[in-house]
Amino acid sequence: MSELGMIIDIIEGTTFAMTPLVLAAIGEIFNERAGIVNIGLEGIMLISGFMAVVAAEATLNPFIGVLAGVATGAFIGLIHGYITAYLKGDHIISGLGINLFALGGVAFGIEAVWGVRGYHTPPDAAKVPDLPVINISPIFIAMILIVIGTHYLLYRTSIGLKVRAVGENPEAADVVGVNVERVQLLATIYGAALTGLAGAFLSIDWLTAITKELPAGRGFIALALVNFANWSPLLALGGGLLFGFFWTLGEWIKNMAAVKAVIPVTLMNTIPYIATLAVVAGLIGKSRPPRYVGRPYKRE
Amino acid sequence: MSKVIRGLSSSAYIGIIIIVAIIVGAIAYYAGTMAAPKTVSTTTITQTTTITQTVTVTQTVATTPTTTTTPTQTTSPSPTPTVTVPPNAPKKIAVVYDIGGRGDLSFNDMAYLGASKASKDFGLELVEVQSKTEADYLPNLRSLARSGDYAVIIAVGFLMTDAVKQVADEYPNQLFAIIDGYIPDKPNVLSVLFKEHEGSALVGALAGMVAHYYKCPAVGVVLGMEIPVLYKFEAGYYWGIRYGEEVYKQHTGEDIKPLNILWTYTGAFNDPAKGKTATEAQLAQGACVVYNVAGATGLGIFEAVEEAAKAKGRDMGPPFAIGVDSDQDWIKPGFILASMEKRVDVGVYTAVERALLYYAGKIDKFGGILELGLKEGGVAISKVEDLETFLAIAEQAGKQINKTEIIEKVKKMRSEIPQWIWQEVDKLAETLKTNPDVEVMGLKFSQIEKMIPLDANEIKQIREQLGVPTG
Repeated sequence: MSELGMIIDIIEGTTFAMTPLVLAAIGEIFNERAGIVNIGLEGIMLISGFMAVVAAEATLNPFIGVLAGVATGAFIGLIHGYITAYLKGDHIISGLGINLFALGGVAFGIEAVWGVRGYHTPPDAAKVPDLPVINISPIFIAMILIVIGTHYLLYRTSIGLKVRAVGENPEAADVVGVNVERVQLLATIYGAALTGLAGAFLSIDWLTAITKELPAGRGFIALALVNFANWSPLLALGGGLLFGFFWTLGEWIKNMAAVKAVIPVTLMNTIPYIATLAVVAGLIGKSRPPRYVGRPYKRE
Repeated sequence: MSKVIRGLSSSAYIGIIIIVAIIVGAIAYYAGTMAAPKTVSTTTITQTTTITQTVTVTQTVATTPTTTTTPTQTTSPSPTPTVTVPPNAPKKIAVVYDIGGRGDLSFNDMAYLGASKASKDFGLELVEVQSKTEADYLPNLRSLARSGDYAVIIAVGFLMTDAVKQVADEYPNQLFAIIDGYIPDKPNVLSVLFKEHEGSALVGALAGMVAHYYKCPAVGVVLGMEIPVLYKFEAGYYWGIRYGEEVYKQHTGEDIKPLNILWTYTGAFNDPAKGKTATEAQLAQGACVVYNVAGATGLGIFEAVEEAAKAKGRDMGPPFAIGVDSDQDWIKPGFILASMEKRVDVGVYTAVERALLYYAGKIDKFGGILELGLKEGGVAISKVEDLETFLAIAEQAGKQINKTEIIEKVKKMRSEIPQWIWQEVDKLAETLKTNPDVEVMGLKFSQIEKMIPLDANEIKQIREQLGVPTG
């Protein structure tokens, strides 16, 4: 394998590694901008991944699978949004509930649907095909567009202004006639739908498998990415790129004798985290969350 | 006033009745729990004096035909279990899974197979307990031990070693078995270990010969977390690869270049995406056989191998993966060369059986080390017949599979590889059973065996001697 081929492989690997992180992070940024915290990303990814496999296998059409994943995410977002925005429930508790439900529900679902505990591998026809020529997923391209679109939506449109106003000062927004609850609910649905896309990407694009812990912590890394990125979609893309790159690079160089001789493996497993932290912390400095994030808004 | 008193007295009556009921119940409960372990505790005392019983342990295993634990035996003529539940033994067994849990594709699922087989054969009730985090080990084990309802509590996984040690001290009358953990000195703890190095040597030899047959420059192994149990896999695999090379050279008379051996610890047992990326890295560096020692992370290994083969327009390897723990050949038929079967089911079954023998007074020591290798049927390389057994399990569970298609594909894949290679692997299995002094690159297999349990320095030394990059 030539050096060039290896570099191309690592770049391709990076596009896969970063996609679920960025998608979930963008979604979370959007709903946190509207003041709703959703720590259930891991759970949403898991449930959506599961539903994507179910739908893709039933229809043997991966795109229906992807749609099912997005729809599942949106539905969970609807529940979370309703609990937090309308019922003024605690955001953390509700998110935690999603994660716990996913852990149990998917483990049970796999057994209920396929009669096997813990894992299932759907047939090849259920897999989202890569783009021609290069080994890159169409969902990666979609992700880039979503990042740009979300950025535009957030900073250049009146919808974005409403979303940010609700997250910064819901009272003021309310006074000028913004329906705070509705904006929050819709933002949460959008955010969770993107996370659902991330889940579908994991289960029927990057891999063709569903296991009961499929995201393996990616939901939480995405949450961290939101903070690192200072609640900015473009920075989240950059952070995801960094993390994905070092994550992939780490897996590659761990196999090389020269590297093995110098760096212990355990240290190498921390490289993506350290590198991302260092770079993002250095670039951004102090991050500032939306002022009213995570607090239920009650009209006086 | 009188109404109040009457009211008080009637509620007092009810209160007294309830309290009496609770006290009676508690006494009855304690009488029940005290009675059973008491008989045990006397035997515990006698048994501490006789310590060197490990040899008998292996003998009892050897008498147990390995076929008893093949799970589909319930339908085929199965040997009726010789052990019955003695009246003094509790009527339940418990299996505690570690954080990997059921559905790791192999390890814990195999433990379940063995336990459910034992519960069926001996008429015991099986209770499964899942640990969510490492902090759950102690409370889970404690609450099971406290109840005293269990003939034996089986902890599945190395990670639970310390917790079992501690709880075994707290409840000296409760029998424990730990799979993959090393607790040599407790009379109430049976440590079930597997000679993974033996099984790994077999798949290593296969990998070495197949890699040369397809003219590949490298072979690889993708591992999970870096824990000492995995060193045994590594050592056996590397040794097997070099042995296979040697055999290949002799058989073909070709002048061959030694294979590069690639290895990586992904640090996770639950992340298939990581397994896929790690495998892609190894395939790009020329590996055409990758050994999965990574639990559910291994799903990604299979996927990467399949994708790489399909990218070259093949519907079969090379590249190949090698499965681990259970027979994984069916997961991606045609791309999984064989599996190193670690018969955790045999281990769990044997532990239950041993507990019952102990309660019956047929053996006077339960604890110790139980090492299951090729000879005892504790490890093996998968055969097409095993595949049929495993597919039957999957079918029983309700999984939709095309059994004949899978078996045909695996058979076809196996026939692509020269017959003599498979025969050499079988020959090595026989050799290791009788003469572990076979030497490769100046390293006898028995030397590796003697070094076990391996630590970080010893595995480094083994890597160095076998021409594997150290780390």
